[in-house]
Amino acid sequence: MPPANTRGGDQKGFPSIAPACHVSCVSEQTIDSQTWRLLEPAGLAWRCWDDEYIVFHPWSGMTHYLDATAGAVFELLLDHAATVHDLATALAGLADTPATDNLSTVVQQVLHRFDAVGLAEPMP
Amino acid sequence: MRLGSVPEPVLRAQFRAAGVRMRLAGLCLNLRTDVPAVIGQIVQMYEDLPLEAGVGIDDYRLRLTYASPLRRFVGRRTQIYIEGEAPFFPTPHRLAYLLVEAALNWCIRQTVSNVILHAATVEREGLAVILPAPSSSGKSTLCAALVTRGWRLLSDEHAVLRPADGRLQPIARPISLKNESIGLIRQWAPDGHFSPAFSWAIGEDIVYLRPPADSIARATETARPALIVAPAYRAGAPVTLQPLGKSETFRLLVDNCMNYHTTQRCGFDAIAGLVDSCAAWRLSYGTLEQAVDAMEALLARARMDPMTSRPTITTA
Repeated sequence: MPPANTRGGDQKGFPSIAPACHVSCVSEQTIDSQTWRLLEPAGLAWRCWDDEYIVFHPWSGMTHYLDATAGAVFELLLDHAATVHDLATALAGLADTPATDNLSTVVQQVLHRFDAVGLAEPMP
Repeated sequence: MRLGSVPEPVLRAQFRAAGVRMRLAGLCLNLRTDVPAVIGQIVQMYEDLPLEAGVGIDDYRLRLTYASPLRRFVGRRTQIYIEGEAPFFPTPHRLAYLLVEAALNWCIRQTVSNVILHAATVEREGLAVILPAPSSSGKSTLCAALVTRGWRLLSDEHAVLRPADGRLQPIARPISLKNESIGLIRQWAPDGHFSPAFSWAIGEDIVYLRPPADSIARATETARPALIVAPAYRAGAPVTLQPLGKSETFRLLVDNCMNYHTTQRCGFDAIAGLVDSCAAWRLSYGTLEQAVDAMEALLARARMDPMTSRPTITTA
């Protein structure tokens, strides 16, 4: 039977927003103090199930799966814009652990991924 | 008037001239054909379908005919046109009915106002169950087993989810059974009305089971989804039920959604809403008796406590 060839399943493309490569050309101090915000958060649709955030991004048409860390950053940014330092401190508070440099690095990586997919941007 | 109640000569003339109008999933489909053999097969499978009145709006016009004048007599092959376009390759005359079913699927999948899932859907006592699964996983087999035991058939191939109210639109069409499931369902429901076997490749057979008349009569009654059950058939295996997490269920539904990208935010909201409101399980089964019992038990639990009912793993 010849296929109808109409199913759009090959373009679903659900990237997981996990920390990837960290690209930076400014000092850690500058990055830490830079304020980040979500891009037009009112237009986003999202759910949090089983410690995983699933975010539909209407401008790209993409659905993003966020792991627990990325999801927590996303939720904090939903509340208000924040610096890497603020976010790392808040995450540490949630996990009841000290805010380490390693945690700040992870937050930076998450924010850069958010930036790459158009979810968040550093404020000018 | 039902398709099966129209005198055969009148029906054949209508198929050849203006076409026969069928209403499926809210669509009005006009089918014309000059292929005599397929008319009898359509009547056999859609006997209880009400015919639309002679005047109306056709959403799609389908025409099944021979692939060329020569193909009417030599190496007979048929072709189906939808609004003048031929989305499928020509097919041997003996498989012409498969072209009709494929074309109906094609039309339903073009809908953008509803979310279309690759899933069977059944209903009992007001609660609908969605059975999403890839082909050859036992979805249609389980669907056929249930509807021959009193469940209402909503659809075999496409779950049509209405974003506006989150309800399922019925499309009571013949259930397609393939290969091993043909014998299983013939044995399970010996009184069922089956089409001839269509062999489209060596060892690859399709037989259709006519939908129950009651399911067709209730074609305009939408149903509220209460459960999502992903079936998997493995001959002889014990029945097992595993709860699915919400996130996993979302991925399962999106993977089986045929128009997720075109429905955009509406599709996300509709599927997320479905996940929010339904409990979900993975059902593995090796016999139809066990599978039907497991479905009855799940439905009973869902009726008592729709969101918190979580099955324990059961075996036969």
